[in-house]
Amino acid sequence: MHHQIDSLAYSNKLRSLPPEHKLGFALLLFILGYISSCYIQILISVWLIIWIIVYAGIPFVFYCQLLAIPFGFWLMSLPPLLIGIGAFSSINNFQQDVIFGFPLGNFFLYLSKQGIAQSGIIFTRSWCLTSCMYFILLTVPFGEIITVLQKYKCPTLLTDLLLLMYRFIFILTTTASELITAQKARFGYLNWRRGIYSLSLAIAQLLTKSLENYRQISLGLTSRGFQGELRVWHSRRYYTNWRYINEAIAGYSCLLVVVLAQNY
Amino acid sequence: MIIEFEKIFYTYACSQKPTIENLSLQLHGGKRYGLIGNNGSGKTTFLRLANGLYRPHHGLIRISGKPLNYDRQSLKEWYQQVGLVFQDPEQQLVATTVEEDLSYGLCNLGIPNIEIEQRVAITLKDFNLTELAHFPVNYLSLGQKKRLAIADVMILKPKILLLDEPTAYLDPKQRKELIKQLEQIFKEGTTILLATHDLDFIYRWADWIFVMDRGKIALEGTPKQVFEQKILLEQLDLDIPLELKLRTSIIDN
Repeated sequence: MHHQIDSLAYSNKLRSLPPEHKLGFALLLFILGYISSCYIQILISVWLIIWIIVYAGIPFVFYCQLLAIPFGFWLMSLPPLLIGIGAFSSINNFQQDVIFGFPLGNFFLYLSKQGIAQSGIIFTRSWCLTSCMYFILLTVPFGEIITVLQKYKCPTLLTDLLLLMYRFIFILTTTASELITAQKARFGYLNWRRGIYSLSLAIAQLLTKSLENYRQISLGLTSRGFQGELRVWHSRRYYTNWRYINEAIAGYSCLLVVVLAQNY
Repeated sequence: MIIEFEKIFYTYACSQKPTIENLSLQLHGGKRYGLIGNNGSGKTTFLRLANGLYRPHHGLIRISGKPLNYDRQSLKEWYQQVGLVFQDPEQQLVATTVEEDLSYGLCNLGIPNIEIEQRVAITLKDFNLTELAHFPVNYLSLGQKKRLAIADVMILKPKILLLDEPTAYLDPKQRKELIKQLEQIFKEGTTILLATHDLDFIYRWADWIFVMDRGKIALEGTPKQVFEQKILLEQLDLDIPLELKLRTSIIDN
């Protein structure tokens, strides 16, 4: 999935737009989504679906798969949010919060009104904020994010680390997939027990290989004259598209007005 | 003479025995050198010593008569003059796109952007990478990655190009393209030293061959001279090229 996100970031229809514009837009929406109500968060999420699916041309099914990740986490957090538990003797204290419940020994297990409201807030917020993040990941290649960070004086150490980690992820995932394929070819995952054992071996091997890779990449950097900073040059030309700029400004202004109207 | 190694010794920290032992050799300009030997004979270590990545524990390395001092400035110049292409290109590619990766070495040398732009454009054209200029490095094929790794070094205009098993893992088509590229580099005046296990290729390609065994130069000479030493090569567990085998067999029959 990581490779596909990266590949789409290089091939999406918004690629030619300046990365600063896309990053700025997503960041402003992120802030607005963070401080606003559920309705605004839903509006932002839906608006971003249009940007991601229609304008950037990201496959709908793939975007749904991506959204399934935060929704999966949200689903996992639902039971403790929705189900309330209290002492049966003090049921009067939380009677108003109960939608449906039953006694269990000295306790009372119930479906909480507050829990439902809270899970709704978490759902819309996570949907909105991850949509902003996905917009960046799917429309701006990682290298360009780093270039923007460098342009706005982000510490070199951080940008260099990010770049190396990015390169490392690809090497690591390839190594991991090769290791697991080799284990599968020798019946390493025939049953649960062997599978867990094989996985532990693969993880240990991956660690050793990562350290070796790190050593070799350090030598590779040195042999190319590394001077303590990963500096590169590029000839990319970006094109400002006023249609998108106008829509972004108009849409954002509308959302901002609604947020302000709601609060004051 | 371009580069000279004088009684070089090198031992890895984790090893008791020297990997390179009393190695002396000279490389002259305008030649294609081959370096052969079994695994563990010290080929990669020798190339890394030649590139200045490792510092010999004893001995001296000179380029155009000037000894390598291993200070920051000397090493910077050394890396530019003696370029090394690793066996695994993944270890040398650092940037996200082909064009950015090509510019990396030039940026390290502090070359102005206008010149970087020109040199990148020329190198992209020379190495047939123009169409891939904005392509992400992570999605290149192994052959393309190897080509880019060589281009990364050649853009710095080195006097000598060192290659560690460049034909390893390549399919016949990619191998053919790579050999063609090396031939072009050589014609443009760069001395090449290539470590390989591909005896058929080195027999036809090299002007001079070094045979390494246990950290020493066991044999050197023209391909004809080297592969005539059948008994010595047998002792070193090395084969002779197929072409020679066939010729000998035809003559014998």
